[in-house]
Amino acid sequence: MLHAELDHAVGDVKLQVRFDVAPGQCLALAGPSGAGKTTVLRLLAGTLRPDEGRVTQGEEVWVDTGEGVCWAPERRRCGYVFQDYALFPHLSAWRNVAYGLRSAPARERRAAAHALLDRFGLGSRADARPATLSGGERQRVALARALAPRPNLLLLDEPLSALDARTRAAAGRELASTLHSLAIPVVLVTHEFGEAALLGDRIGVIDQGKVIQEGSPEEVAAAPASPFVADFTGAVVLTGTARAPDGELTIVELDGGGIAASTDRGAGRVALSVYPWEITIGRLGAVGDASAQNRLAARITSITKVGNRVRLGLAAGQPLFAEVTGRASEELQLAVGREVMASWKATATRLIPL
Amino acid sequence: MRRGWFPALLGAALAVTLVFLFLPVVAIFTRTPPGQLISTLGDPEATEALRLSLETTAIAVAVIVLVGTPAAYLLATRRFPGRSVVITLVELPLVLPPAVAGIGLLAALGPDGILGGALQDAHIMLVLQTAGVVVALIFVSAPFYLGMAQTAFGSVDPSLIEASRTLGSSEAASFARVAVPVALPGLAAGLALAWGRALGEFGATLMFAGSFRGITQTVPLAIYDQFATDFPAALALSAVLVAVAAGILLAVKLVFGQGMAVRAAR
Repeated sequence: MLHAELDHAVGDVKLQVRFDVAPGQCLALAGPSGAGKTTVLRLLAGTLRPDEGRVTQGEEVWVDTGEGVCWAPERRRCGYVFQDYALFPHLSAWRNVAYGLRSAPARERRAAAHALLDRFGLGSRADARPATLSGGERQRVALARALAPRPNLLLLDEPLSALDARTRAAAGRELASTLHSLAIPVVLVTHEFGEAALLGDRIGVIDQGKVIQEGSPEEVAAAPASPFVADFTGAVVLTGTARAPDGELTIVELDGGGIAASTDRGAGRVALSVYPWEITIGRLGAVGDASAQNRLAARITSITKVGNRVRLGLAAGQPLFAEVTGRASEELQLAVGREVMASWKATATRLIPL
Repeated sequence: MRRGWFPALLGAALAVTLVFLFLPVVAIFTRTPPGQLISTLGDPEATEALRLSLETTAIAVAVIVLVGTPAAYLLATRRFPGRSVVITLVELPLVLPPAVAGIGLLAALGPDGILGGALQDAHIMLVLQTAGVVVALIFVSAPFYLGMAQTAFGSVDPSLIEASRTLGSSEAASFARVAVPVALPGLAAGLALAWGRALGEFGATLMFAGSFRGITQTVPLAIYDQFATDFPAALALSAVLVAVAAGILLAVKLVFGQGMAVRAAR
């Protein structure tokens, strides 16, 4: 079990986090750049000393500022996968992997490094220098290098962000299966909610140095604790004032005009969130999806193709966006400037008290 | 044709630069009769000077690398109050006239200098001694190595050192196993520069150590000695010095050339 309580000032951000990670579990700290994510990893690895805090890993006390304890990084045995992988440029792939195996005899180091590279499908690249490896290969060498000395904690800093979009999906699935096979605590940081949901058993959404919500990916996505979390998970966030509940629905008067209904309970100032793929688009005045309680007249401000989907920027009282299929976009002859009707169900609408 | 004038200007500037810089070197070789070159290599005054030059510069460069490498690493990787002052002090000998360097060394390490008494008590003689030549060489050429080494260490990605630490290497082991190998091309360039500067050293050596055959008379001093009496011999000795300096530069480039190519590929 990894236990961490960390207080550390980084520039204007006051980092203040507490968490536990059980062996075999992966905690994904997700948040925007500048939230202090990498600092958390450096404090755990020991390359940075916290202003105040306590870190224990199993029976070992790594940091206890009250007692003046702060172990050097080389004593903690943390595997660390750096954001740009930080492979040693002067060493071949297998020598990078063998770097942390100094205590073993030369022959065993070599064999162990080659075995690990084989496991990651890099057996044929063992003698290649990092400069000649592709992004995905570098990521796997970095992971193999971090795991080679059998660490008792694994840290990953944006493990997929240095990869191009095409390799990222496959590398992400592979990494997820590797992480699931490990029997040690894993802490990873990412600025993408999707990545956190894919790789983490639990997600801690971090902003301005604090964890503002922690839970399983499903919990965080289904019930975001704040408008920031909702926005971060990729949802549309609108603000308004809730009227007294009317039967089973809460009616919200949206800032900038329009009303929306939700099956969630709420009163007073609220933020309302809905995923863009829950929003359907129809012609103005047409009778859309009969079961959709919420309708807003909106003007299309942008049309962006994302894979086989089309992302529409919409201007209503507040800006929002929706995702529709390419076919729907063609059938409806969507174009920038057109007035359309955006509609979604009250059951897909989450209310968050402000 | 009008749009071609700027490339032509660039080309002309490079041509002028090359001719100006290279002509004296070419002249040394073309004006030296081959017979003279061979007889120079047989002349004991010349061979003694050459041996002394190689010995003293090798010792000086070894000391510079041994002490300068960790010092440069500290300057490149740590932030501390007064750091920029320290860096300026290290660079100062670069802008000192050689004569001033010689006077300074005498005032510091000469018999009546600041440390003169202490050195005398320890039975260390520098002035008019071979050891004095080494001291003068270190003084004038160390800043070249320190400057290059500091830049080289400064461009080593700090996360490489952090990676090494998390993989179980101490700070000292990370320095030896990662920082030095990664910075090696830059360190080698600094070494070549410092060695070249040491080979050509004249003023500080003359003032601090004098010009005694076999003891303190290095090749540049021997050239100056012969210049007044035997110009062809001075010319031949100059040719030898150019060849040695070029040889060292080339050797360093060949030995570390692979490292430079790897770095370029990154």
